[in-house]
Amino acid sequence: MAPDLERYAALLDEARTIKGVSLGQDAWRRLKRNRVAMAALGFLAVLGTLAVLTPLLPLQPPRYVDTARQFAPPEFSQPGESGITLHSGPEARRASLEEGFGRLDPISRALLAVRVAVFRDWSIPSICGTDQLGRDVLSRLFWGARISLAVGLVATLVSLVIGVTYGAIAGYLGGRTDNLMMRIVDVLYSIPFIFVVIFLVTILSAETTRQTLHFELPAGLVKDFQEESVSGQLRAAFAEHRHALGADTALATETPGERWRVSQKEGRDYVVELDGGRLRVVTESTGRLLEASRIVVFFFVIGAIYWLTMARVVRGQVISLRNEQFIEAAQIIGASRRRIIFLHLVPNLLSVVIVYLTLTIPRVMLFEAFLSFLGLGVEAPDVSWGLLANEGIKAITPVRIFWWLVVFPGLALGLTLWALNFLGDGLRDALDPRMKNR
Amino acid sequence: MTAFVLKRLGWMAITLWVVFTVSFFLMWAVPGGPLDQERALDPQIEENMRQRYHLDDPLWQQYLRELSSALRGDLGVSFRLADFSVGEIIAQGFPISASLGIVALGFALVLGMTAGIVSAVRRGSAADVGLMAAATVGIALPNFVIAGILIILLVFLWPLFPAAGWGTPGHLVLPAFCLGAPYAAYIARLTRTGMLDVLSQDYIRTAYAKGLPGRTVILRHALKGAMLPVVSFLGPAIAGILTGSLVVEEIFAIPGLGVHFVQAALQNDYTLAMGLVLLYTTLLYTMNLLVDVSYAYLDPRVKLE
Repeated sequence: MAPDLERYAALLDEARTIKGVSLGQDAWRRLKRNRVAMAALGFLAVLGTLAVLTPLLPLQPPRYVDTARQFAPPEFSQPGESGITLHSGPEARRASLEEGFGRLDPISRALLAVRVAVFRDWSIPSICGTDQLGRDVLSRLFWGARISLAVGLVATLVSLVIGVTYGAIAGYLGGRTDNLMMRIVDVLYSIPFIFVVIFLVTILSAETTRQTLHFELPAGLVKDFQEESVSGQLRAAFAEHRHALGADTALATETPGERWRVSQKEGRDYVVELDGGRLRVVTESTGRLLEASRIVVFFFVIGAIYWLTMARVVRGQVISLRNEQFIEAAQIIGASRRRIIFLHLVPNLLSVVIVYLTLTIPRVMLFEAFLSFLGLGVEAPDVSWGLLANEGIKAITPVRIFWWLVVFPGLALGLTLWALNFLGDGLRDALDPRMKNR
Repeated sequence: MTAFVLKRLGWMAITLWVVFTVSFFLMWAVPGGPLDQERALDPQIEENMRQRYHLDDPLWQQYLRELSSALRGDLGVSFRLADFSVGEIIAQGFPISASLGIVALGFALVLGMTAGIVSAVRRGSAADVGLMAAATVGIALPNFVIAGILIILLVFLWPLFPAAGWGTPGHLVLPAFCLGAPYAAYIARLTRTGMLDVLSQDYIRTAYAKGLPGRTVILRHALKGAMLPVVSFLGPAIAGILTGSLVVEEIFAIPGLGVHFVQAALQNDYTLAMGLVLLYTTLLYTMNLLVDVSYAYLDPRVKLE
């Protein structure tokens, strides 16, 4: 007996020295050897960090209009005009920040405050030139990156959730259900969805739909009125709610009757009325708050389109996993269907899903750029790369060539899409189980 | 074969019906119709108008009426373009868009396959590396960026082509190139991979061994096998070219369907937008069907069911 025990002990010792390599570690090792994919990953990491920290960077305000510097070519020596008023009290400073940066979420506002504290009103020169309103292109590229990347991520995640759920359910249930679900996918596949989305946008952006969508908001604007002098009150109300109405709200100009039109610099109008002593926004063509939610709704729609391929891929994978022993074991110990699908099957799909994720993001971003380019996506005063490219191409004239307006947005978009494509290819190779331990 | 085509046509009818139905009910769900204008009509007149246009019928009757007129090829009148029916707009724009699309596809095929063959045959050479790098750039850059750069270079800096418009062959070159470039890049990569695959096979060695000249081996024997991935990519490529034409027509001010579609979307011209969506669906379906049939023709191993 004793020799056997010794042998087992030796075997155990040997086993302890051998380290198991998980699929993740193995894939990471292989990915690290792929220089192009690593470069792409590095680029994307830097880009993502910079996009998140954009308010912290000493960039010129993306909306600061300076007609004196219209179409200025790239400039390296002269520091940029930040348009931030520092010395005329906190109110003026806040106003100048709002004018330049628009209304921001609290985190970005905090970052912006740090930036102002650190860099004062110094900012990077316009190294990418300025556009037709004298706005700094570099800064607009960074602020546009935030929207373009966010759209890509959000829409892809939506497609991920729908596609994985649908595919996993179809694949696991199999039989007639599977057949029906996949026929539906087939029919959807052959619909040219881009056109359908544009058609949906047509309907969503119809003036009448907008009014019903926008009717109640912004909630903070409902204000009690007791006194007589309405005009003065209106002014006071706007001073107070300037923020909620949008950064660049101009003074209210009264029109006859019970309603007032409020004009903004960027051409957005509100109509306000007195309703039983309360001030209420009746219509707003595109209020900031709702515009944001419209973009969100809209890109959820995009995400809801790109799930088809994901569903097919996941279904195929699930069918091959369904007869594995660990699923059988789970069935035997009485795990519910839902538990098996989401706890046992879905984690095993991770590699397929990750690869497909990195390949979907560039498609979605391209689609966003495409729609914004056509004027159907992100709307001014927000910026996205597609919108910037559109402005650049519109500014092409035979008289003077503003190449920087075309080249820099194109470069930003091209590099990002390139990096995402290569990272996706690299991940696909790295996560291929047939390549394990090679 | 016939059964396959018939089955696919059946699916196409179902798809079109789904698109039509969804569009119809979406349009109906949107508040505000052609009569809800800012200038309110006299109630009696509005009542008469509603009767005239059957707007007060039950919804399903309106739906059936619209469906039957769409089946007869009558897609209604445009909401925004005075004096035009949707059919007339399509009849005007379609030949323009079609010729642009065909030339773009031709560009993509010729450029892509030539590049792919060259880089496969001269694998590892400077030509191979250069062409594949160009293909990578072509895939990553959206067509409107390519268009902007080309306009600056080839229209203003070195005036070779007219900036925009339609009418002469010169007007066609830049838009068709911009439209086809991303697909040329994909096709180049597919052709290269396919060629490399085929060139290492035994029948190619046999062809060389029996003394055929290199050109014949590559163009006659290898290319046919290497074409298969390209042919199956044609379906997505055609869909992409249809989509891309929206942007390219807009940039180069070409009066095709794409511009009409974008304008319809921007101006809430529901009938026109719906008609064009139906048209695009039909086109896409037909093209995919043709691709599948030609695939079976090229590869005898594929059976159509």
